[in-house]
Amino acid sequence: MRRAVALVVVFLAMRASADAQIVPCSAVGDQGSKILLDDIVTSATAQNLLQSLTSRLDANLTQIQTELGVDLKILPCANRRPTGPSDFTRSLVQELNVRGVLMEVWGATTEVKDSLGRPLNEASIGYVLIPIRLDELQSQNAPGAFIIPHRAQPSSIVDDLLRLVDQAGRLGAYAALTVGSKSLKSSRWGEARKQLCAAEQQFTKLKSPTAADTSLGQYAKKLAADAVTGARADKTYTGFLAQEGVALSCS
Amino acid sequence: MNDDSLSDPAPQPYRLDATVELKQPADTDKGIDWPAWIQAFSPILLAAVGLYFTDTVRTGFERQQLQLANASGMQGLLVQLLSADVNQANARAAAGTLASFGPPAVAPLVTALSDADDIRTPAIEGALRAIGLNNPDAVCVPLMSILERQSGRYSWLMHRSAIRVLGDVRCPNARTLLQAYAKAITDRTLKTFDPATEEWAPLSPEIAELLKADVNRALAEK
Repeated sequence: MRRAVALVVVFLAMRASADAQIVPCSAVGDQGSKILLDDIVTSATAQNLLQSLTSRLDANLTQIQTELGVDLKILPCANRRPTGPSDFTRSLVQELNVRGVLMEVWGATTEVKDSLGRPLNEASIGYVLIPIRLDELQSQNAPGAFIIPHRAQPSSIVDDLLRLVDQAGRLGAYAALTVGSKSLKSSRWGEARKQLCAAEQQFTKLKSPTAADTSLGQYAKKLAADAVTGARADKTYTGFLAQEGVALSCS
Repeated sequence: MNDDSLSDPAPQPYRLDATVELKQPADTDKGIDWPAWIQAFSPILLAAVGLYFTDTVRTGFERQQLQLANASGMQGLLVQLLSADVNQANARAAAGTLASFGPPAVAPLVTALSDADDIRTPAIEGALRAIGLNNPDAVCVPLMSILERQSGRYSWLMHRSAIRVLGDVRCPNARTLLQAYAKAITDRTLKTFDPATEEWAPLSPEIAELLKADVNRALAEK
């Protein structure tokens, strides 16, 4: 009897939370560093734009890969719909981190009207930068998971969304920061320094940085300095960072 | 008076008054009268033997019923835990309810761990920890065998989960095993099963670092 009641409770819990949640994604098990692109759905057209957006982003990320010099995959995760940053708990982020996930992007758009009755696309794009989120949960550093809201004219939904996800190099800055942070934790000082300095530079170039971007730019700067400090303390390291003349700051 | 009767009297019967006492020897056989005892106790013996066999059969039957009930009860929860659309809350709820079955749930949970992902792994580890708090042996034996048998088809992620749970559960010989495991990582002799290639491969430096950090954490908790 008690087990039957327990089953009913579990079933009800499933029903209540089935709409928007993080569900398993087989791509998480793929080897190598990766960026997960969750469902980005629009209620206006009831159209799932995941595949078209993924292919566009994939091409976009090829450029970032070339710039970063890192083998990075972008993998779609159908039906995976985080409700917000709070979904990314410590246990989940740890599991994503050990499986090589660097970043996860998700979003939702709705069609609204402004005060003059003109149609607008209101979109919220969520980002979680896994190594940064892990640091955030441990020591309250820069935000590792956040949502960037945006309003745009509904010319082409896919184009708008692509612009939202990769606003003026934002995605490149995030990717460089996560790769650099991960390299730093693996004591690959030279690689870490290169990526973190690139991230800092890209954050300063953002045309309309959010508060999170500003904070992340400063965090990239701090980590870049940590790479030099770590390299100097590491007796097995013989690269250029161990030389006396290398400054802590990137510029 | 008749003379004949006086000279030839008729013979008189002799009469002897005596008492015959039959005495048994004092040291006769004092052994147990088994037939009598068996006769006396046979109903009780029969009842006891009958009760024993009845109880044994009933216990066996009840155990089978319990196992069947456990399997039936766990099946639904396992289906939920392994379903493609399970989310964090549901995975935790299903694994937590599975943990309430106690030691019988360990085998399916460890099996589920073999291909668990970012959603299911924390839930399964939590359930194994919960069982291990009350029944350490039920959890320690299978998890320690994962780390002991490097020829087993266990991925490094499964090794990681085993290390993390062993760190939290009081397993008698875990410390020695974890120290040997840490040495194997340092010596770079450790190999784990790679499901992608179906081969046993040495750990990459990054994975070795991750596992070593988990082993050190587990040893610190011991």
